[in-house]
Amino acid sequence: MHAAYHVELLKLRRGRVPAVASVVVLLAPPLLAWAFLAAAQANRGDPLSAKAAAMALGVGWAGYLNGLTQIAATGGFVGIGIVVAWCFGREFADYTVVSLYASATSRHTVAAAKLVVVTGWAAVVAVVAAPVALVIGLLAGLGSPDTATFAALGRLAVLLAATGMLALVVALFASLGRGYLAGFAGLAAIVVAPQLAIVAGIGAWFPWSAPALWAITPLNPTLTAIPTWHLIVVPLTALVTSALTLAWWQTAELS
Amino acid sequence: MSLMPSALSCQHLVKRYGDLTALNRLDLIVVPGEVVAIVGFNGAGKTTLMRVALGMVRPDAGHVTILGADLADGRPDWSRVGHLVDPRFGYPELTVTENLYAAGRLHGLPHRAAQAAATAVIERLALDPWASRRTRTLSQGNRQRLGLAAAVLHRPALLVLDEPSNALDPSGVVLLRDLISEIVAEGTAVLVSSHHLDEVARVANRVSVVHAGRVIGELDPAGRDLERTFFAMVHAADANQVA
Repeated sequence: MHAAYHVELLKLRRGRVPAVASVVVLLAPPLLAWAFLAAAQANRGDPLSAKAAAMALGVGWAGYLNGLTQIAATGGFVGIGIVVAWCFGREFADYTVVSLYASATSRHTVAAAKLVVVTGWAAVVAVVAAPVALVIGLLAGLGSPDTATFAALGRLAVLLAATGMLALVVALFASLGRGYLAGFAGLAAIVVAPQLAIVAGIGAWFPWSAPALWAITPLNPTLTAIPTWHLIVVPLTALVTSALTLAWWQTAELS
Repeated sequence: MSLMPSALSCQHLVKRYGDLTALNRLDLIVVPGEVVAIVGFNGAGKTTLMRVALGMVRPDAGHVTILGADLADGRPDWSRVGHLVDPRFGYPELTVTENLYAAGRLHGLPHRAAQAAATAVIERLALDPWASRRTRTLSQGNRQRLGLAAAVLHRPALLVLDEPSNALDPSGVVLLRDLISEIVAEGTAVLVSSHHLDEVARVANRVSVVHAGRVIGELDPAGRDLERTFFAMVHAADANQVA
């Protein structure tokens, strides 16, 4: 058991995909939020300024965090989902899956280690994302953060950690489709699905939209807040998708 | 044939892919301390046989026993099995040493034993110049050497190699031959497939000819003109099939 975790951690540390994804997930949302805030305030009449103004994100820390959380909800899922697709799909793309058969360490154990390691990586990224966002906000000249700022940064960390669990569904797509492309296709479908769920009025309970709504609504007083206990759908969804992925790895034949 | 308990026993194996019968009631036994080579044309069923024997694909009928354990009933002791059935072994982002360490751990070796085994097999297979190189930078031949190293570093009791000399240079072929002789002397059972009759004749105790999913006969490794005997055997099998 321990060996599979050790090996998966080694592959994650050496891989370019997790390194690039870490930087993108940590830096892209706060930098984009900063850019949107600056564009809305400058109001130069260019398309970006017009779009930023139309989003009515607000001003100061509240506006920055509002934009940041909305971007991180989707961008974080894409970034983390790409790492999950890589972690599972690469075994087929690189033909390394062959060496996982007839091995003292079962494929079930290897898959479990992959799920735990990518979830752990996402949790680390989530924890680091809050101070990174704080520093970029300070560099943007937003002034001293208040209690509401720290609360929003805490929600951002929880959102990204939840995203790490929700992105495990991509492992199932990459396994079933035996490669990255199936993982990416599933990822794209899951990015679109929350919008449909929100339009259908079930966004507060849909696993892939509930954490984002929970994190975003306190920053938008006109929206109805989502109770924290709705987040129970996150670990439940992760358990179901993980169980299906493990079952696949335990029984799948080499194609 | 020896009366020793078999390391690998395949009985009446059948495997179909749609209307293609890849294995047609195939029987094969490998006992400890012997090298059994299987030779045959492309598509004869050699790779399918190895994949079925290693539990990579399930047979439609028949039984496989590995080191005394029935493949269908329970979990064989895979820590005593080594294999190379795809030459594209290794994680590209890991170095040669890291890949071998990872292979050792997944074969069941503890941390220090895996480190020691990786170091030893790097030296044994002359991979020292590439030990710290990432696997993505290796030539095809060195990648195959890496795969061989990963297959033997835990000193398995059963070793299965599918065309292991395909990408090797002459020095690599000699290394492979010596490695097989060495590991067989320790009591390991080896099943190896190849297209090169003269090459398998040098290492094998028995040479089984696989054709149309069946073992149609054996070649004497010490015999003369193996190629002529091989073709005669295959043509006779085809003639019987038509009749």
